[in-house]
Amino acid sequence: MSKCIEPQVGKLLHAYELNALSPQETELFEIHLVKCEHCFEEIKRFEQEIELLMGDDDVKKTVAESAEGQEALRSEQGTLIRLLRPKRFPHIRTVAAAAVLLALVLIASPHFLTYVTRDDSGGGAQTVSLVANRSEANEVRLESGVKGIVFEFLCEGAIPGQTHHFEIRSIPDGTLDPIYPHGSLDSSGTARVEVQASDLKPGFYVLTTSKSASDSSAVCGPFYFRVRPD
Amino acid sequence: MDSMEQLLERAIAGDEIAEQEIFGHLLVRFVLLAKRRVRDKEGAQDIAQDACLTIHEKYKAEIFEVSFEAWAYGVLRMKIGNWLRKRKARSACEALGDCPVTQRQTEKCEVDQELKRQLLACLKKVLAANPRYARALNLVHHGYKSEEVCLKLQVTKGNFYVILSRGRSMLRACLGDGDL
Repeated sequence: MSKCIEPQVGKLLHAYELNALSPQETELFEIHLVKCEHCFEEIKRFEQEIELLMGDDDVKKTVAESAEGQEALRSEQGTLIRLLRPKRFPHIRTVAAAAVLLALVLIASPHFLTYVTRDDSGGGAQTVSLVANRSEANEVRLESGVKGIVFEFLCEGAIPGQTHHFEIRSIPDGTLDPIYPHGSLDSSGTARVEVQASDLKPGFYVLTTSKSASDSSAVCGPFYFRVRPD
Repeated sequence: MDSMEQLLERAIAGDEIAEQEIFGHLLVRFVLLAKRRVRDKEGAQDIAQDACLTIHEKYKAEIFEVSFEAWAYGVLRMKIGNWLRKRKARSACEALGDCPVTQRQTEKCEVDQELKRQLLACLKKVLAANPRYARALNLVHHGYKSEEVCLKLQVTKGNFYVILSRGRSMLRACLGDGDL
C-alpha cells in the first residue's frame, strides 16, 4: 500500500474517524484525504468498524465501563497518596527530602552509575537503556568479546510501523564519522537501535532520532551517552 | 501513475482519459466525505455527482489559489451545505404535513453482528492494554473535541494523536489476526 503523502496531517486520521477534530482540523484533513491514497484507503477499509465504534450502544458501554474502571483505579491511587500526606506521617517530609538529596547525589556522580548495562547473551550483544538528555546516567562500558551494543529507549513521539532515522555522532562533532545504525520500534514506543561495538571508541556521543535523513526535526531525545573502556 | 497536477494538465489540454481518471478519483472520495456529513448513502451519491458536475463545468477556466484539490473540496462543501439546507426545509414541511410525495427515507444500516462480536472482543483487549485509549475514546463518545480531551487527559495534542493511533493499530491488528 502507498505511504501517506503528508504524515503531519495523516496523523489526524483516527481523530478524524472519531469526529474528534476541530472544524479547521477537519477541513485540513479532508483536503488531505482528497489527495492521499493511503489515508483514503485506510478510512475506507475501517469504515464499518468505525461506524460501530462510534454509533453502537454496546460498544459505547464497553468503553465507558473500561474508562470508569481506570478512573476508579486512579482515584484509589490518589487515596493512597493522600494517606501518605504529612498530616498522618509528620516525618515524611524529612524522609522525602533525604530521598531527593540521595537521588541528586546519584545523578551528579557518575561514579555511582558506571553501569547501566546488562549483558543479554553471554558476550554476543550488550543492551544499554538510555535516558533522554542525561549524559551522566547513560554509560557504556565496552566489554571484551561483546560484538554488538543494543540501545533501548522510550521514544514518545515515534509512531509504530513508520520508518525512523537514527544517527550517532561523537562529541565534539566530527571527531569520528557519524554512525547510522539499524533500529526498530515496538507497539509500546520502545526503540531498539543496534551498533557494532567496534564502531564505538571511548568518548562522548549523542544519539538522535528523526523521521528521515532529510528531515532533521527530532522525534524524541537527544540521548547523550559516554563510552568507557573496559 | 501520473500525479494530479500532470493529470490536470493533460485534461485541460483535452485528454479525455486523464479527465475520466480525475473525476473517478474525486467521485469516490466525495461520496465518502459527503456520507460522513449527511448520513444518507443516496444523498451522498447525489451530492458527489452534483459537485463533480460543477467542477467539470468550471475547472478549465478556474485559477486555483491553493490547489485543485482544495478548490474541488470547496465545491463539495458548498453542495453539502445546500443539501443540508434543503433537508432542513423538508423536515419543516414534514412537520407541517404539506410535503410532496417524493420524499426519500433515510437508509437504516443493518448491523453486521459477527463484526460487532469480533470488535467487542478486540476492544476489550485493547482497552485493557491501553487505558489511555479507553479514557480518550470515552471522552470522544461524550462529544469532546481534541483540545478538550487533551485538557482532560493532560496530554499534548501530539501525544493525543499518538494515543489514538496506537489504539487504532492495536484494534486493527486484533481484528486481523486476533492478537494485539
